Amino acid sequence: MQCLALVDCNSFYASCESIFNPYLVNKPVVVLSNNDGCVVARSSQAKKVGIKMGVPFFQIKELVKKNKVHVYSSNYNLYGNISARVMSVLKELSDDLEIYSIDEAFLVLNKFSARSFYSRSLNIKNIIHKWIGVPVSIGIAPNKTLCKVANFLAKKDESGSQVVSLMNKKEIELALKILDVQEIWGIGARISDFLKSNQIYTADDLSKKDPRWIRQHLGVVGERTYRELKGEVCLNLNSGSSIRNQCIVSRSFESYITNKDDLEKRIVSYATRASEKIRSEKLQVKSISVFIRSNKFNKNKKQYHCIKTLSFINPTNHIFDIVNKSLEALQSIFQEGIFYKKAGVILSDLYLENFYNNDLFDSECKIRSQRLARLNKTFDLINSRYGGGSISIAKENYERLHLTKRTNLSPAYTSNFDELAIAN
Amino acid sequence: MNKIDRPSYSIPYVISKVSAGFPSPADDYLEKNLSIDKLLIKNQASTFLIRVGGDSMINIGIYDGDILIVDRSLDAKNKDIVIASIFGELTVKRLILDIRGNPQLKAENPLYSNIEVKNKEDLIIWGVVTSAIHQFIKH
Repeated sequence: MQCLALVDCNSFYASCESIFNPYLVNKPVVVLSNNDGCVVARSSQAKKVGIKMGVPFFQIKELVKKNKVHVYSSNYNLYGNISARVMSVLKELSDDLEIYSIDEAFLVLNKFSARSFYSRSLNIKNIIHKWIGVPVSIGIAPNKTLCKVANFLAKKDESGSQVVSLMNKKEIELALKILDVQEIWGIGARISDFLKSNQIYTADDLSKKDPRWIRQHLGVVGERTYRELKGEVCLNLNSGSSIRNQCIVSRSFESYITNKDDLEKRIVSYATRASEKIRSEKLQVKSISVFIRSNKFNKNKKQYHCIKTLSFINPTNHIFDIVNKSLEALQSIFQEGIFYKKAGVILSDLYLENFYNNDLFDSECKIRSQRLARLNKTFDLINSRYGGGSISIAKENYERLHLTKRTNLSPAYTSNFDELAIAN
Repeated sequence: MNKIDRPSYSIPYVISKVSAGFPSPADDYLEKNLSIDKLLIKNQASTFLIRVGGDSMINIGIYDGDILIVDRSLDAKNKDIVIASIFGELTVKRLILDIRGNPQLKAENPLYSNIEVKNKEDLIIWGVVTSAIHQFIKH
């Protein structure tokens, strides 16, 4: 039988902050999103004092003060570095892996190892903690959906080993009986409400339903989840080769924007950054969405949010193409008289460069494309050599993108010699 | 990019100038560049850089402002130079373990007294210092 292990870093961003500042271990810590807007990570002590995921910071200022919660701006540089370390160690210790997000990975543990899956996982957990300083929880199971279940239970086991194995029928059945349907991977709020209105409360209830009923009401995706809960393997491991399916660059503004020109500058910044991102991954995009929205927490002002998606005939990663298309999208959704608080550019429908066949007859397009490719390369080279933003499209307001509000930013411990942690 | 992740400094030890006409006879012997990273870092994932603050270790040549290379994957043995976390603060000291395994942190400067550790929980060995970099000329 296949054995998978889902390794998930506990309160990852907060744990990263604690590595170089051990004072924070076992203290309430929260990390805020870009521009210090919302809570994006909480240590378990911060969860205990009642801070919810995703709440805007201004709503918890009292809680923070009362409970002496340590607040950090997001230091993605640090988190990315620590994540890369964790993943490289997991790769060494497993037979194959799929990096699922910045702080979780599915590992394949093959049978030929003499040690049991459980003791092997325990060893992985201990090594990651000792070598890098990040606590993890591990769920072991025959497939991804059950791994998620096992990991969910492992996370709750704070005083124990935080390693949970669901490798036999009895263990699986027991786990499903205590798991609320809304906690199942892939079951969203809407579906879980629907299930509960049909007297399906636990994962066990769901797994005992008739497969025809499942297919009829939950579709192919739901059926896959159902079959995995019963122990089948439906979802394969994506080891590395898979390309991302989206690239999002968005920001909350530090104050409101009402003026179209200012909004355009932001969109140019985000589109530029997004195009840099996909070029660095050798991807091309076929459709672009731009969204803008007012402050949903300020009910006194007129609420507005809108998203517009446009497509290219052929996929591209040229900066001008992406910027122009984004501005075109913005043009069609911009409304006067709105206090805008957030905007973003989403690139979706991504292809590997050269994967998509250009129009056979469009040789002019090919020449243009090659010329632009050289231009982009030079653009990226200059910015990587002399620092991001050294060269940019005139419309862009570079500082606006990069000087976001990050009041409580911790040092660049792993990427700047001038900001190393100090030991006395 | 993290400096540890990629060799950032290397010295070629066979160098030949480009000369018109004659190929350098040494070119066939050109070997890989020396890498400072490779010399100093055995385990990339578990190695971190820490800056020294203060003069508590000057007797063994660790000065204020030096950069320490710290490998967290090593098990700290008696007399190792370690980064320890004591009451939540990082410090660099020599680890002394008595016969019963009780730890003590020893400064390498007579002006500092040793740190006795009464509760083992107050002390966490953060990593083992494998080398110290002291720059005479800073770039």
